[in-house]
Amino acid sequence: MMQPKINSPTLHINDLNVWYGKNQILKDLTFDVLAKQVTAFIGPSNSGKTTLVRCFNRLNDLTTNFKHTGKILFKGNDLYSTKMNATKIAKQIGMVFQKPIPFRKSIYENVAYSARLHGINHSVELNETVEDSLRKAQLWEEVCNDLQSTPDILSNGQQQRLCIARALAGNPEVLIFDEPCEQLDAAETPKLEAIVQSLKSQYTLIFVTNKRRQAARVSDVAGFLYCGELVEFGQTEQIFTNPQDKRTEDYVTGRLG
Amino acid sequence: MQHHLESELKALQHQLLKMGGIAENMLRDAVQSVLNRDEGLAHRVIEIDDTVDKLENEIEARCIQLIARHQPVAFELRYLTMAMKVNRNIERLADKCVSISRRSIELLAYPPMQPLVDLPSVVHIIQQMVKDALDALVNRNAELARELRERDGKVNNIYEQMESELCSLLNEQPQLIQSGIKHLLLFRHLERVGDLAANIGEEVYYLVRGEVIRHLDISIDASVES
Repeated sequence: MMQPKINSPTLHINDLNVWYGKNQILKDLTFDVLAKQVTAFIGPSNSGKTTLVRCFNRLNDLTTNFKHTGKILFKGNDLYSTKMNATKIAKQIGMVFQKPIPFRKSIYENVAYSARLHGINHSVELNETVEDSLRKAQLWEEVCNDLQSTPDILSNGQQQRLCIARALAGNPEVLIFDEPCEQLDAAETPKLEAIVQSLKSQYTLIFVTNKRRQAARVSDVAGFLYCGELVEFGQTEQIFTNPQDKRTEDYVTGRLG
Repeated sequence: MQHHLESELKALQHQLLKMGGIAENMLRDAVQSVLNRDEGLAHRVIEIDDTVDKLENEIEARCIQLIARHQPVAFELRYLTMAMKVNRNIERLADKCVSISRRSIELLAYPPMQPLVDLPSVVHIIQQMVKDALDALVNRNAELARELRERDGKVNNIYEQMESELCSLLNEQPQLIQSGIKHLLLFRHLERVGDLAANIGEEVYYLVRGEVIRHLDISIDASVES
């Protein structure tokens, strides 16, 4: 299996196996996620993509019968060590979900909430963080006059961008996008992809999608998951022009899944 | 069930091979027209070039349409990019056959020149290269495709030798200068046919292996092989 070039991984996954009860969801996964690039995971439904990324911020801890073996190192530290604080991990490894779920608070408070959790309480600094996060999520121009309104006034796509701003206000190192365009209309998808590209220089980005073309557009490195197995992991260009495994070839050409 | 694009690619390959077959015949006839001083055959080669030009346009349009409609990736993407380049190379090869035929007609105005080297054997190497380039495409044979580069190197050496011998002859017999220039152009056209066959081989290699060997030194081929 082809591995991307090494430049101090943000996440190092070594021989990861995951079960829900007796069902093995992920099998012997080993790979690195590097900073300042987009790592995409592609694969058909039930291939284990979401389970995998939920391991990175320990969201699976809440799932009954979740069991894993193997190591996930975040900047060299074992994410599942008893010394690690799951809340702290969630702050450093943010997530944007399929369906945008803004809090029932004002647009301003949605973003300020994360900043406060990050320890920002001074009003000037808080205002700066809210504006900066909304700008990074390319939403500021559209909401700067409605900061005290509730997110109900926003479109689905704008709500998703608000969720991105909220995640950014917590100053994470890693941001995971789990099929973030699933509920977006055609006009919003390019905006979200543009945001991902603009964030790349500052964050470690992980992008889960079942849209092959989207993975080809946004990612630098791509992994193809199939039935819980990481069939191929390498430079996106390689995956989409010269895949080494027949199953990857069949998936990217639309014959599989 | 056969994937829809697969059947489209098969049809495209059929069209490419049809064009390649015409170009192969054009090369055979163009060379025969030179060797047998057959003006009629040379004219027929020139006339048939329109068919190849039309096929080139059709194949290119087909490739563009398939890319637009299917947005191919992986092997299919490599196949279509290869097909567009092979298409162009076959068309240029046919153009060279036309040039050979034109030289053949022009040479009729001069008495036959004592052959400088064994022209039929050089022609045989080049014809075999064109045949093997198309065979490599049909059989997805990367090794045969890559090996064409080596044969092209040999053809280039023979061309240089022919050029040097012709220059020596023209120094001794300057009255042959006009006929000599036509011969020099003829050798050059044949040498270019070898280049084009090697180009097709490079594109077939990319199709099969996903690696670009174009512009790489032939000596590197040994390491590619290992």
